[in-house]
Amino acid sequence: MPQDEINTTEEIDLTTIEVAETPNVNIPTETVEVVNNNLFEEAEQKITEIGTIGQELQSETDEYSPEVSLLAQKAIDIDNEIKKIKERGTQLTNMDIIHSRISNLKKQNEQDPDTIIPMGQIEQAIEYSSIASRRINALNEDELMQFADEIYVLQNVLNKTIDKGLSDIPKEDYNRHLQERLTRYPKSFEQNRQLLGVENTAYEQIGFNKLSSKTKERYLHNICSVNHEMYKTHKEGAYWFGFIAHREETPEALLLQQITNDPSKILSSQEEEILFEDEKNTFKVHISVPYERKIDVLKAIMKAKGSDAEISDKLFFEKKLNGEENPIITNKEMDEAGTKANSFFSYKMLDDEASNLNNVADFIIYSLKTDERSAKEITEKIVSQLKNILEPLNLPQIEKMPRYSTPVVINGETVPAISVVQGNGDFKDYLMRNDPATLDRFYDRSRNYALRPNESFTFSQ
Amino acid sequence: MNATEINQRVQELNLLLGYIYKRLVEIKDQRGMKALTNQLQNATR
Repeated sequence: MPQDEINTTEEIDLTTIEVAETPNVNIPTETVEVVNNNLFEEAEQKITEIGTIGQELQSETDEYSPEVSLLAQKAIDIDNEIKKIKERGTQLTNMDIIHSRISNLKKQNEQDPDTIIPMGQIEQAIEYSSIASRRINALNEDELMQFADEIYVLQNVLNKTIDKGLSDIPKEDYNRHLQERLTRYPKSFEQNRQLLGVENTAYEQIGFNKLSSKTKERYLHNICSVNHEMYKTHKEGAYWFGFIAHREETPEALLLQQITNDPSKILSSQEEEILFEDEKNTFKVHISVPYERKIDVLKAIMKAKGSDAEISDKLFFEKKLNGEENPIITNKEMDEAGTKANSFFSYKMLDDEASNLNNVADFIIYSLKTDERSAKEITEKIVSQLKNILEPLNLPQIEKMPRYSTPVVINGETVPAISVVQGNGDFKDYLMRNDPATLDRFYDRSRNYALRPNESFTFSQ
Repeated sequence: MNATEINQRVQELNLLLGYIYKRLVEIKDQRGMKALTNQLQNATR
């Protein structure tokens, strides 16, 4: 069996495999110069020979000794340089192979619309891409972006192939379509997530902050999909995740809109009281971190969300196996099963532009009340879960407290990065501008106007 | 660094390694010669 047809279902030792060493006879070679591995072999041989003779010569001390030491050191330096170059060469060759395979699949897919590419070929390309993604540190930004593009193409090939394979089932028949997809392509959802993760390794190597605005969104979409979370949109200076709570067009909401959009709008005392009453159940949790740590926070949250999704799936299928037709997983069951981030479903991360404003938090997590718990109780749970999620990151204390936010203190110790707020910042801004005496009456000045005078939290460890 | 540059650089480094090896062999020979000369001198003393 030629190596090209390796069985990808076999266990592959990812620590030792080198994609570059797998020749592919089916792929037409392009007329570009390739890395000449013979040169590396030649160098390795010479270094071994130098090592042998060098060791022999270094055992003796005479007028030649300084020169021998110098030459031996020079050989070590060259050896190190060659190792680095070889790694770069391997990674470039890996990329060539990935490129050849994927463009080959793409061509097949486009040339004959009726041909269904054997899934084995696609799976092999996925496996190769995944292995190659573990060694991309020697690639430059352009090459990394090219790699990400290739992986995106492979996702399209995979999805088009699945579509072709399910063309006998009307897409409108959603349940049957899904059922058949699970039967015919049981690994396809996982494969898609795998590819999104592989694509993201390239973006992470470049660094989130250096990505273009469009690629940042792609990265966020991918990281969410990989972790069964929803990336909603980029709007109003923030990237939104989970659900966006719909705010009904109540008179209070309209008033709030007016003071936000029209700085000349003046509220009557009665209107101020109405807004104040309306926001008594509005709570938010803030996360403020140094600019370069923002993405670490997001990744930690995503990891927790991904782990929660797995727990929730497990509970769902257990119930299904026990005969429940439409199982519902309660929050209590999720808590008992050890979920880490099931207290929040709506949150946003501010984009660079918004983050540059000094008085806003980098993350805003909305506290949404449930049938069992008030928004305040949910806030306490969010704080507790976030504290655990962020603990391993060793984040520093907040340098500049976000507007109207107050630190979380548990047992006399201030929790890093996390702060809480009650009410609406825009309303407080309005009062600060137009009626500071009322702001002082409504909210506790000594706590940065974050909470009402008699409001307090009971944070658990 | 692309494939062409990689090949060029490794060729250069191979040349340098060749020089180092050659020089070490020379040193080994010179030491050998020196030892031999010493032996001869001692024998003829």
